Amino acid sequence: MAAMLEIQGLSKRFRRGAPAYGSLRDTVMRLVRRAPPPGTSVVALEAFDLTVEAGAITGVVGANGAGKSTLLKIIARITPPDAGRVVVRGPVASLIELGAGFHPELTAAENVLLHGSILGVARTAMRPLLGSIAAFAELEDALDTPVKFFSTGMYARLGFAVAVHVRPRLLLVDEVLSVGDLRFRQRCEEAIAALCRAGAAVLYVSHDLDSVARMCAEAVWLDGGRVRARGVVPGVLAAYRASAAGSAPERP
Amino acid sequence: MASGLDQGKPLAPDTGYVIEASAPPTSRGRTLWRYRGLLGSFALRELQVRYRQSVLGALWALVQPAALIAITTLVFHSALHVDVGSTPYVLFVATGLVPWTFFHTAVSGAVPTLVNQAGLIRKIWFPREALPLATVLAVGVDLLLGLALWGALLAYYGSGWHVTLLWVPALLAILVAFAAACALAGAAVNVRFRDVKHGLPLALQVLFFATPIVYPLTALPDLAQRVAALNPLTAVVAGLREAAIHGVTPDPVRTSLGALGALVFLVVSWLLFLRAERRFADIV
Repeated sequence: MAAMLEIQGLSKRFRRGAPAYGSLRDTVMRLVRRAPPPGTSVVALEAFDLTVEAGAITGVVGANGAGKSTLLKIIARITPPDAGRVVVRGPVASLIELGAGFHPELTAAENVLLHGSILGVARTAMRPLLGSIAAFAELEDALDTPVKFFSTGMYARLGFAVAVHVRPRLLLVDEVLSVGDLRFRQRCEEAIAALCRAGAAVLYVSHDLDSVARMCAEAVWLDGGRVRARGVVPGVLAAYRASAAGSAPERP
Repeated sequence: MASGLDQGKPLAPDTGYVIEASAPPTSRGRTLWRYRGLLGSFALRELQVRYRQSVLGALWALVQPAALIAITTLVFHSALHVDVGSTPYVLFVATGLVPWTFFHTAVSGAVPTLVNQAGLIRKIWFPREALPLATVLAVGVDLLLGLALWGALLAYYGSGWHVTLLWVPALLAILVAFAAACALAGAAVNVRFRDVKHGLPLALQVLFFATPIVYPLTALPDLAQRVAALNPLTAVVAGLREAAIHGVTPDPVRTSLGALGALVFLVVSWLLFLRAERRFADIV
Protein backbone atom coordinates (compact mmCIF):
# COMPACT_ATOMS: atom_id res chain seq x y z
CA MET A 1 0.00 0.00 0.00
CA ALA A 2 1.25 3.46 -0.89
CA ALA A 3 2.26 5.83 1.90
CA MET A 4 -0.39 8.17 3.28
CA LEU A 5 1.88 11.18 2.88
CA GLU A 6 4.75 11.61 0.42
CA ILE A 7 6.79 14.79 0.16
CA GLN A 8 9.56 15.35 -2.39
CA GLY A 9 11.86 18.33 -2.76
CA LEU A 10 9.57 20.76 -1.00
CA SER A 11 10.86 24.35 -0.89
CA LYS A 12 9.35 27.62 0.17
CA ARG A 13 10.78 31.08 0.65
CA PHE A 14 9.22 34.07 2.36
CA ARG A 15 9.91 37.71 1.70
CA ARG A 16 11.07 39.56 4.74
CA GLY A 17 11.02 43.29 5.09
CA ALA A 18 8.32 44.83 2.94
CA PRO A 19 5.02 42.96 3.04
CA ALA A 20 3.84 40.97 0.04
CA TYR A 21 0.94 43.34 -0.40
CA GLY A 22 0.69 47.07 -0.65
CA SER A 23 -1.54 49.75 -1.96
CA LEU A 24 -2.66 49.69 -5.56
CA ARG A 25 -0.35 52.63 -6.21
CA ASP A 26 2.74 50.70 -5.05
CA THR A 27 1.95 47.78 -7.33
CA VAL A 28 1.26 49.97 -10.33
CA MET A 29 4.51 51.87 -9.79
CA ARG A 30 6.41 48.59 -9.48
CA LEU A 31 4.90 47.30 -12.72
CA VAL A 32 5.78 50.54 -14.47
CA ARG A 33 9.37 50.46 -13.26
CA ARG A 34 9.67 46.68 -13.67
CA ALA A 35 11.32 46.53 -10.27
CA PRO A 36 11.42 43.30 -8.29
CA PRO A 37 9.30 43.12 -5.15
CA PRO A 38 11.07 44.81 -2.24
CA GLY A 39 12.58 42.98 0.72
CA THR A 40 14.93 40.04 1.02
CA SER A 41 13.80 36.47 0.86
CA VAL A 42 14.43 33.90 3.58
CA VAL A 43 14.29 30.14 3.32
CA ALA A 44 11.34 28.62 5.16
CA LEU A 45 11.87 25.14 3.79
CA GLU A 46 14.51 23.77 1.43
CA ALA A 47 14.43 20.51 -0.56
CA PHE A 48 12.48 18.70 2.12
CA ASP A 49 11.60 15.01 1.67
CA LEU A 50 9.40 12.91 3.93
CA THR A 51 7.26 9.80 3.75
CA VAL A 52 4.75 8.86 6.43
CA GLU A 53 3.13 5.44 6.19
CA ALA A 54 -0.40 4.69 7.32
CA GLY A 55 -0.38 3.98 11.04
CA ALA A 56 2.86 5.86 11.72
CA ILE A 57 3.41 8.98 13.80
CA THR A 58 6.36 11.10 12.73
CA GLY A 59 7.53 13.83 15.04
CA VAL A 60 8.89 17.16 13.81
CA VAL A 61 11.11 19.15 16.17
CA GLY A 62 13.17 22.30 15.82
CA ALA A 63 13.60 25.83 17.08
CA ASN A 64 11.12 28.63 16.40
CA GLY A 65 11.29 29.61 12.74
CA ALA A 66 12.77 26.29 11.65
CA GLY A 67 9.96 25.73 9.14
CA LYS A 68 7.76 23.32 11.09
CA SER A 69 4.56 25.31 10.76
CA THR A 70 5.27 26.20 7.14
CA LEU A 71 5.61 22.49 6.43
CA LEU A 72 2.22 21.74 7.96
CA LYS A 73 0.58 24.67 6.19
CA ILE A 74 1.85 23.49 2.81
CA ILE A 75 0.60 19.96 3.43
CA ALA A 76 -2.76 21.35 4.59
CA ARG A 77 -3.09 23.37 1.32
CA ILE A 78 -3.11 26.66 3.21
CA THR A 79 -0.04 28.07 1.49
CA PRO A 80 1.53 26.91 -1.79
CA PRO A 81 5.15 25.68 -2.09
CA ASP A 82 7.68 27.27 -4.45
CA ALA A 83 8.94 23.88 -5.58
CA GLY A 84 8.38 20.23 -4.88
CA ARG A 85 5.47 17.88 -4.62
CA VAL A 86 3.17 16.60 -1.89
CA VAL A 87 0.89 13.59 -2.29
CA VAL A 88 -1.81 13.02 0.32
CA ARG A 89 -3.87 9.83 0.09
CA GLY A 90 -6.87 10.49 2.30
CA PRO A 91 -8.90 13.12 4.10
CA VAL A 92 -6.89 15.50 6.27
CA ALA A 93 -7.64 17.19 9.57
CA SER A 94 -5.20 19.89 10.50
CA LEU A 95 -4.93 20.73 14.16
CA ILE A 96 -2.97 23.90 13.52
CA GLU A 97 -5.23 25.88 15.79
CA LEU A 98 -7.98 24.15 17.70
CA GLY A 99 -11.42 25.51 16.94
CA ALA A 100 -10.21 27.96 14.28
CA GLY A 101 -13.51 27.48 12.47
CA PHE A 102 -15.70 28.27 15.46
CA HIS A 103 -17.96 31.31 15.48
CA PRO A 104 -18.18 32.92 18.94
CA GLU A 105 -21.91 33.68 18.71
CA LEU A 106 -22.93 30.13 17.79
CA THR A 107 -23.55 27.41 20.34
CA ALA A 108 -21.17 24.49 20.75
CA ALA A 109 -23.54 22.17 18.89
CA GLU A 110 -24.00 24.62 16.00
CA ASN A 111 -20.24 25.03 15.83
CA VAL A 112 -19.65 21.28 15.70
CA LEU A 113 -21.89 21.03 12.62
CA LEU A 114 -20.24 24.10 11.04
CA HIS A 115 -16.72 22.84 11.75
CA GLY A 116 -17.68 19.47 10.27
CA SER A 117 -18.68 21.08 6.99
CA ILE A 118 -15.43 23.04 6.88
CA LEU A 119 -13.70 19.65 7.11
CA GLY A 120 -15.92 18.38 4.29
CA VAL A 121 -18.40 16.35 6.37
CA ALA A 122 -22.12 16.88 5.80
CA ARG A 123 -24.25 18.16 8.69
CA THR A 124 -26.38 15.02 8.50
CA ALA A 125 -23.26 12.91 9.04
CA MET A 126 -22.07 15.11 11.91
CA ARG A 127 -25.31 15.23 13.90
CA PRO A 128 -25.20 11.61 15.14
CA LEU A 129 -21.70 12.28 16.50
CA LEU A 130 -22.77 15.22 18.67
CA GLY A 131 -23.19 13.07 21.77
CA SER A 132 -19.87 11.34 21.50
CA ILE A 133 -18.04 14.59 20.64
CA ALA A 134 -19.58 16.28 23.69
CA ALA A 135 -18.60 13.31 25.85
CA PHE A 136 -15.01 13.34 24.60
CA ALA A 137 -14.72 17.10 25.17
CA GLU A 138 -16.52 16.75 28.55
CA LEU A 139 -18.97 19.45 27.48
CA GLU A 140 -22.26 17.52 27.65
CA ASP A 141 -23.92 20.33 29.60
CA ALA A 142 -22.53 23.13 27.43
CA LEU A 143 -23.74 22.06 23.98
CA ASP A 144 -26.32 24.85 23.85
CA THR A 145 -23.97 27.54 25.14
CA PRO A 146 -22.46 30.05 22.69
CA VAL A 147 -18.74 29.32 22.55
CA LYS A 148 -17.89 32.95 23.30
CA PHE A 149 -18.55 32.00 26.94
CA PHE A 150 -16.08 29.09 26.77
CA SER A 151 -12.66 29.07 28.40
CA THR A 152 -9.58 28.45 26.27
CA GLY A 153 -9.48 24.87 27.49
CA MET A 154 -13.13 24.19 26.63
CA TYR A 155 -12.59 25.72 23.19
CA ALA A 156 -9.57 23.51 22.57
CA ARG A 157 -11.28 20.35 23.84
CA LEU A 158 -14.23 20.89 21.50
CA GLY A 159 -11.96 21.65 18.54
CA PHE A 160 -9.89 18.56 19.11
CA ALA A 161 -12.96 16.35 19.62
CA VAL A 162 -14.44 17.45 16.27
CA ALA A 163 -11.18 16.96 14.37
CA VAL A 164 -10.65 13.38 15.55
CA HIS A 165 -14.30 12.35 15.28
CA VAL A 166 -14.39 12.93 11.51
CA ARG A 167 -11.77 10.14 11.43
CA PRO A 168 -9.15 11.72 9.16
CA ARG A 169 -6.50 9.60 7.46
CA LEU A 170 -3.83 12.26 7.86
CA LEU A 171 -3.66 14.28 11.06
CA LEU A 172 -1.47 17.38 11.22
CA VAL A 173 -0.84 18.35 14.83
CA ASP A 174 0.92 21.65 15.53
CA GLU A 175 1.66 22.30 19.17
CA VAL A 176 -2.01 22.45 20.01
CA LEU A 177 -2.12 20.05 22.90
CA SER A 178 -0.10 22.43 25.06
CA VAL A 179 -3.20 24.50 25.85
CA GLY A 180 -5.00 21.67 27.62
CA ASP A 181 -4.43 20.31 31.10
CA LEU A 182 -2.54 17.09 31.75
CA ARG A 183 -5.68 14.93 31.70
CA PHE A 184 -6.85 16.37 28.39
CA ARG A 185 -3.44 15.86 26.85
CA GLN A 186 -3.44 12.23 27.84
CA ARG A 187 -6.87 11.77 26.28
CA CYS A 188 -5.68 13.50 23.10
CA GLU A 189 -2.63 11.28 22.88
CA GLU A 190 -4.84 8.22 23.32
CA ALA A 191 -7.20 9.45 20.59
CA ILE A 192 -4.31 10.06 18.20
CA ALA A 193 -2.97 6.57 18.88
CA ALA A 194 -6.44 5.15 18.24
CA LEU A 195 -6.66 6.93 14.88
CA CYS A 196 -3.29 5.44 13.99
CA ARG A 197 -4.47 1.95 14.77
CA ALA A 198 -7.30 2.60 12.29
CA GLY A 199 -4.70 3.45 9.63
CA ALA A 200 -4.19 7.19 9.94
CA ALA A 201 -0.79 8.81 9.49
CA VAL A 202 0.19 11.60 11.87
CA LEU A 203 2.66 14.44 11.59
CA TYR A 204 3.31 15.61 15.12
CA VAL A 205 4.93 18.99 15.65
CA SER A 206 5.83 19.80 19.23
CA HIS A 207 8.30 21.57 21.46
CA ASP A 208 7.44 19.07 24.18
CA LEU A 209 10.18 16.54 23.50
CA ASP A 210 8.88 14.10 26.13
CA SER A 211 5.58 14.00 24.31
CA VAL A 212 7.39 13.40 20.98
CA ALA A 213 9.37 10.59 22.60
CA ARG A 214 6.15 9.02 23.91
CA MET A 215 4.11 9.33 20.72
CA CYS A 216 6.50 8.88 17.82
CA ALA A 217 8.74 6.14 16.50
CA GLU A 218 10.54 8.41 14.05
CA ALA A 219 11.30 12.10 14.03
CA VAL A 220 12.78 14.86 11.88
CA TRP A 221 14.79 17.75 13.24
CA LEU A 222 14.37 20.90 11.16
CA ASP A 223 16.83 23.77 11.37
CA GLY A 224 16.55 26.85 9.16
CA GLY A 225 14.29 24.99 6.76
CA ARG A 226 16.71 22.10 6.29
CA VAL A 227 16.80 18.63 7.83
CA ARG A 228 19.54 18.40 10.49
CA ALA A 229 18.74 14.86 11.59
CA ARG A 230 16.14 12.20 10.96
CA GLY A 231 15.48 8.64 12.03
CA VAL A 232 14.46 6.86 15.21
CA VAL A 233 13.32 9.22 17.92
CA PRO A 234 15.99 8.79 20.63
CA GLY A 235 18.85 9.63 18.27
CA VAL A 236 17.16 12.67 16.73
CA LEU A 237 16.07 14.07 20.09
CA ALA A 238 19.54 13.53 21.57
CA ALA A 239 21.13 15.43 18.68
CA TYR A 240 18.59 18.25 18.98
CA ARG A 241 19.04 18.50 22.75
CA ALA A 242 22.82 18.52 22.40
CA SER A 243 22.69 21.32 19.86
CA ALA A 244 20.28 23.40 21.96
CA ALA A 245 22.47 22.90 25.02
CA GLY A 246 25.55 23.87 23.04
CA SER A 247 24.17 27.12 21.67
CA ALA A 248 22.44 28.18 24.89
CA PRO A 249 24.17 26.63 27.87
CA GLU A 250 22.01 25.90 30.87
CA ARG A 251 22.33 28.30 33.71
CA PRO A 252 24.04 27.01 36.81
CA MET B 1 -12.85 5.19 25.64
CA ALA B 2 -11.95 7.21 22.56
CA SER B 3 -15.42 6.29 21.30
CA GLY B 4 -14.49 3.93 18.53
CA LEU B 5 -11.90 6.16 16.90
CA ASP B 6 -9.84 3.12 16.02
CA GLN B 7 -12.45 1.78 13.66
CA GLY B 8 -14.59 2.96 10.81
CA LYS B 9 -14.04 4.85 7.62
CA PRO B 10 -13.29 8.56 7.36
CA LEU B 11 -16.41 10.72 7.21
CA ALA B 12 -15.06 13.23 4.74
CA PRO B 13 -15.43 12.05 1.13
CA ASP B 14 -12.02 13.52 0.27
CA THR B 15 -9.76 10.86 -1.22
CA GLY B 16 -6.56 12.87 -1.16
CA TYR B 17 -4.79 15.37 -3.36
CA VAL B 18 -1.51 16.34 -4.97
CA ILE B 19 0.16 19.69 -4.32
CA GLU B 20 2.64 21.11 -6.80
CA ALA B 21 4.29 24.48 -7.09
CA SER B 22 2.30 25.65 -10.09
CA ALA B 23 -0.82 23.58 -10.69
CA PRO B 24 -3.90 24.18 -8.56
CA PRO B 25 -4.58 21.18 -6.30
CA THR B 26 -6.85 18.54 -7.86
CA SER B 27 -9.88 19.18 -9.98
CA ARG B 28 -11.89 22.14 -8.78
CA GLY B 29 -15.30 21.00 -9.92
CA ARG B 30 -15.09 17.74 -7.98
CA THR B 31 -13.80 19.51 -4.88
CA LEU B 32 -16.62 22.04 -4.96
CA TRP B 33 -19.17 19.27 -5.30
CA ARG B 34 -17.74 17.48 -2.27
CA TYR B 35 -17.89 20.67 -0.27
CA ARG B 36 -21.36 21.71 -1.42
CA GLY B 37 -22.64 21.49 2.16
CA LEU B 38 -20.13 24.13 3.26
CA LEU B 39 -21.87 26.90 1.28
CA GLY B 40 -25.13 26.19 3.08
CA SER B 41 -23.33 25.89 6.40
CA PHE B 42 -21.64 29.28 6.09
CA ALA B 43 -24.91 30.86 4.92
CA LEU B 44 -26.77 29.31 7.84
CA ARG B 45 -24.11 30.63 10.20
CA GLU B 46 -24.68 34.15 8.88
CA LEU B 47 -28.43 33.88 9.30
CA GLN B 48 -28.07 32.36 12.78
CA VAL B 49 -25.73 35.11 13.91
CA ARG B 50 -27.34 38.08 12.20
CA TYR B 51 -30.32 38.64 14.47
CA ARG B 52 -28.93 37.27 17.74
CA GLN B 53 -29.54 39.68 20.59
CA SER B 54 -31.90 41.84 18.49
CA VAL B 55 -35.52 42.40 19.51
CA LEU B 56 -37.11 42.69 16.07
CA GLY B 57 -35.08 39.78 14.70
CA ALA B 58 -35.84 38.70 11.15
CA LEU B 59 -38.51 41.43 10.95
CA TRP B 60 -35.62 43.76 10.08
CA ALA B 61 -35.45 42.09 6.69
CA LEU B 62 -38.91 43.57 5.98
CA VAL B 63 -38.58 46.87 7.85
CA GLN B 64 -35.46 47.93 5.95
CA PRO B 65 -36.79 47.66 2.36
CA ALA B 66 -40.21 49.02 3.38
CA ALA B 67 -38.63 52.11 4.92
CA LEU B 68 -36.33 52.56 1.92
CA ILE B 69 -39.26 52.36 -0.49
CA ALA B 70 -41.25 54.86 1.57
CA ILE B 71 -38.46 57.41 1.85
CA THR B 72 -37.46 57.11 -1.81
CA THR B 73 -41.10 57.68 -2.80
CA LEU B 74 -41.21 60.77 -0.59
CA VAL B 75 -38.04 62.25 -2.08
CA PHE B 76 -38.34 61.39 -5.75
CA HIS B 77 -42.13 61.40 -6.16
CA SER B 78 -43.62 63.83 -3.66
CA ALA B 79 -40.70 66.28 -3.62
CA LEU B 80 -38.96 65.94 -7.00
CA HIS B 81 -41.96 64.74 -9.08
CA VAL B 82 -40.08 62.20 -11.20
CA ASP B 83 -42.38 61.29 -14.10
CA VAL B 84 -43.05 57.56 -14.44
CA GLY B 85 -46.25 57.71 -16.47
CA SER B 86 -49.40 56.08 -15.17
CA THR B 87 -47.64 53.60 -12.83
CA PRO B 88 -47.95 54.40 -9.10
CA TYR B 89 -44.46 55.56 -8.06
CA VAL B 90 -44.38 53.30 -4.99
CA LEU B 91 -44.75 50.23 -7.18
CA PHE B 92 -42.36 51.64 -9.79
CA VAL B 93 -39.56 52.28 -7.31
CA ALA B 94 -40.14 49.09 -5.29
CA THR B 95 -39.56 47.11 -8.49
CA GLY B 96 -36.10 48.68 -8.68
CA LEU B 97 -35.27 48.86 -4.97
CA VAL B 98 -35.97 45.21 -4.12
CA PRO B 99 -33.37 43.79 -6.55
CA TRP B 100 -31.00 46.70 -5.84
CA THR B 101 -31.14 46.15 -2.07
CA PHE B 102 -30.23 42.50 -2.62
CA PHE B 103 -27.34 43.44 -4.89
CA HIS B 104 -26.03 46.15 -2.58
CA THR B 105 -26.29 44.08 0.62
CA ALA B 106 -24.85 40.95 -0.99
CA VAL B 107 -21.84 42.65 -2.59
CA SER B 108 -20.95 44.96 0.28
CA GLY B 109 -21.34 42.03 2.67
CA ALA B 110 -19.37 39.51 0.56
CA VAL B 111 -16.38 41.65 -0.38
CA PRO B 112 -14.81 41.84 3.12
CA THR B 113 -15.56 38.19 4.08
CA LEU B 114 -12.09 36.85 3.24
CA VAL B 115 -10.29 39.60 5.13
CA ASN B 116 -12.67 39.46 8.09
CA GLN B 117 -12.08 35.74 8.40
CA ALA B 118 -8.35 35.83 7.88
CA GLY B 119 -7.93 33.66 10.97
CA LEU B 120 -9.91 30.88 9.36
CA ILE B 121 -8.08 31.22 6.04
CA ARG B 122 -4.68 31.03 7.69
CA LYS B 123 -5.56 27.90 9.66
CA ILE B 124 -7.84 25.63 7.63
CA TRP B 125 -8.16 24.72 4.00
CA PHE B 126 -11.57 24.81 2.31
CA PRO B 127 -12.77 26.12 -1.06
CA ARG B 128 -12.46 29.85 -0.38
CA GLU B 129 -15.32 30.77 -2.74
CA ALA B 130 -17.65 29.43 -0.09
CA LEU B 131 -17.18 32.54 2.07
CA PRO B 132 -18.29 35.30 -0.36
CA LEU B 133 -20.84 33.06 -2.08
CA ALA B 134 -22.41 32.10 1.27
CA THR B 135 -23.04 35.78 1.98
CA VAL B 136 -24.80 36.09 -1.38
CA LEU B 137 -26.86 33.03 -0.48
CA ALA B 138 -27.76 34.34 2.97
CA VAL B 139 -28.81 37.71 1.56
CA GLY B 140 -30.88 35.73 -0.94
CA VAL B 141 -33.18 34.89 1.97
CA ASP B 142 -33.79 38.63 2.46
CA LEU B 143 -34.45 38.89 -1.27
CA LEU B 144 -37.28 36.38 -0.86
CA LEU B 145 -38.82 38.53 1.89
CA GLY B 146 -38.33 41.62 -0.27
CA LEU B 147 -40.06 39.86 -3.16
CA ALA B 148 -42.98 39.06 -0.87
CA LEU B 149 -43.26 42.75 -0.05
CA TRP B 150 -43.03 43.57 -3.75
CA GLY B 151 -45.73 40.99 -4.51
CA ALA B 152 -48.03 42.68 -1.99
CA LEU B 153 -47.47 46.09 -3.62
CA LEU B 154 -48.01 44.50 -7.03
CA ALA B 155 -51.33 43.02 -5.89
CA TYR B 156 -52.49 46.34 -4.45
CA TYR B 157 -51.23 48.87 -7.03
CA GLY B 158 -50.69 46.64 -10.07
CA SER B 159 -52.89 46.16 -13.09
CA GLY B 160 -53.56 42.47 -12.48
CA TRP B 161 -51.40 39.37 -12.81
CA HIS B 162 -49.79 39.07 -16.22
CA VAL B 163 -48.57 35.83 -17.75
CA THR B 164 -45.28 37.66 -18.42
CA LEU B 165 -44.57 37.30 -14.68
CA LEU B 166 -43.03 33.99 -15.76
CA TRP B 167 -40.02 36.06 -16.83
CA VAL B 168 -39.32 37.09 -13.25
CA PRO B 169 -37.24 34.00 -12.27
CA ALA B 170 -35.02 34.43 -15.34
CA LEU B 171 -34.46 38.11 -14.52
CA LEU B 172 -33.66 37.22 -10.91
CA ALA B 173 -31.14 34.66 -12.16
CA ILE B 174 -29.31 37.47 -13.99
CA LEU B 175 -29.38 39.48 -10.75
CA VAL B 176 -27.93 36.66 -8.64
CA ALA B 177 -25.26 35.78 -11.22
CA PHE B 178 -24.13 39.41 -11.41
CA ALA B 179 -24.07 39.74 -7.62
CA ALA B 180 -22.05 36.51 -7.30
CA ALA B 181 -19.59 37.74 -9.93
CA CYS B 182 -19.08 41.06 -8.15
CA ALA B 183 -18.78 39.26 -4.80
CA LEU B 184 -16.06 36.88 -6.04
CA ALA B 185 -14.04 39.52 -7.87
CA GLY B 186 -14.40 42.09 -5.10
CA ALA B 187 -13.49 39.66 -2.32
CA ALA B 188 -10.41 38.38 -4.17
CA VAL B 189 -9.11 41.84 -5.01
CA ASN B 190 -9.83 43.08 -1.49
CA VAL B 191 -7.39 40.52 -0.03
CA ARG B 192 -4.55 42.20 -1.88
CA PHE B 193 -5.73 45.78 -2.25
CA ARG B 194 -7.52 47.22 0.73
CA ASP B 195 -8.33 50.16 -1.56
CA VAL B 196 -11.44 48.17 -2.38
CA LYS B 197 -12.79 48.84 1.10
CA HIS B 198 -12.74 52.57 0.44
CA GLY B 199 -13.77 52.45 -3.20
CA LEU B 200 -16.66 50.03 -2.92
CA PRO B 201 -19.25 52.28 -1.21
CA LEU B 202 -18.53 54.96 -3.81
CA ALA B 203 -18.79 52.50 -6.71
CA LEU B 204 -22.09 51.18 -5.36
CA GLN B 205 -23.46 54.69 -5.03
CA VAL B 206 -22.53 55.49 -8.64
CA LEU B 207 -24.08 52.22 -9.78
CA PHE B 208 -27.29 53.04 -7.88
CA PHE B 209 -27.79 56.22 -9.84
CA ALA B 210 -26.54 54.69 -13.10
CA THR B 211 -29.23 52.01 -12.85
CA PRO B 212 -32.79 53.16 -13.68
CA ILE B 213 -34.10 52.58 -10.14
CA VAL B 214 -35.56 55.92 -9.09
CA TYR B 215 -36.17 57.06 -12.68
CA PRO B 216 -37.40 55.24 -15.83
CA LEU B 217 -34.85 54.10 -18.42
CA THR B 218 -36.68 56.21 -21.04
CA ALA B 219 -35.83 59.37 -19.07
CA LEU B 220 -32.23 59.00 -20.31
CA PRO B 221 -31.03 60.32 -23.71
CA ASP B 222 -30.59 57.68 -26.42
CA LEU B 223 -26.84 57.31 -26.04
CA ALA B 224 -27.06 57.06 -22.24
CA GLN B 225 -29.72 54.37 -22.62
CA ARG B 226 -27.31 52.32 -24.71
CA VAL B 227 -24.53 52.74 -22.17
CA ALA B 228 -26.91 51.85 -19.35
CA ALA B 229 -27.79 48.63 -21.18
CA LEU B 230 -24.23 47.40 -20.56
CA ASN B 231 -25.11 47.19 -16.87
CA PRO B 232 -26.85 43.86 -16.18
CA LEU B 233 -28.83 45.54 -13.39
CA THR B 234 -30.53 47.70 -16.03
CA ALA B 235 -31.77 44.56 -17.75
CA VAL B 236 -33.06 43.25 -14.41
CA VAL B 237 -34.88 46.38 -13.24
CA ALA B 238 -36.29 47.47 -16.61
CA GLY B 239 -37.21 43.85 -17.39
CA LEU B 240 -39.05 43.40 -14.07
CA ARG B 241 -41.10 46.54 -14.79
CA GLU B 242 -42.03 45.34 -18.26
CA ALA B 243 -42.91 41.83 -17.12
CA ALA B 244 -44.70 42.55 -13.84
CA ILE B 245 -46.18 46.03 -14.23
CA HIS B 246 -46.82 46.47 -17.96
CA GLY B 247 -47.43 42.83 -18.83
CA VAL B 248 -45.08 42.81 -21.82
CA THR B 249 -42.12 40.56 -22.63
CA PRO B 250 -38.82 42.12 -21.45
CA ASP B 251 -36.89 43.73 -24.30
CA PRO B 252 -35.07 40.75 -25.88
CA VAL B 253 -31.88 42.60 -26.90
CA ARG B 254 -31.39 44.33 -23.55
CA THR B 255 -32.23 41.17 -21.59
CA SER B 256 -29.95 38.83 -23.51
CA LEU B 257 -27.16 41.41 -23.34
CA GLY B 258 -27.62 41.60 -19.58
CA ALA B 259 -27.69 37.82 -19.19
CA LEU B 260 -24.60 37.37 -21.35
CA GLY B 261 -22.74 40.15 -19.54
CA ALA B 262 -23.53 38.72 -16.10
CA LEU B 263 -22.51 35.21 -17.18
CA VAL B 264 -19.22 36.25 -18.78
CA PHE B 265 -18.38 38.39 -15.77
CA LEU B 266 -19.16 35.47 -13.45
CA VAL B 267 -16.81 33.12 -15.31
CA VAL B 268 -14.03 35.72 -15.46
CA SER B 269 -14.43 36.58 -11.76
CA TRP B 270 -14.29 32.93 -10.77
CA LEU B 271 -11.11 32.34 -12.78
CA LEU B 272 -9.57 35.43 -11.22
CA PHE B 273 -10.58 34.16 -7.79
CA LEU B 274 -9.00 30.73 -8.37
CA ARG B 275 -5.78 32.33 -9.56
CA ALA B 276 -5.55 34.58 -6.52
CA GLU B 277 -6.78 32.01 -4.01
CA ARG B 278 -3.55 30.09 -3.43
CA ARG B 279 -1.83 33.17 -2.05
CA PHE B 280 -4.68 34.35 0.18
CA ALA B 281 -3.19 32.86 3.35
CA ASP B 282 0.19 34.50 2.65
CA ILE B 283 -1.09 38.04 2.19
CA VAL B 284 -4.44 38.30 3.94
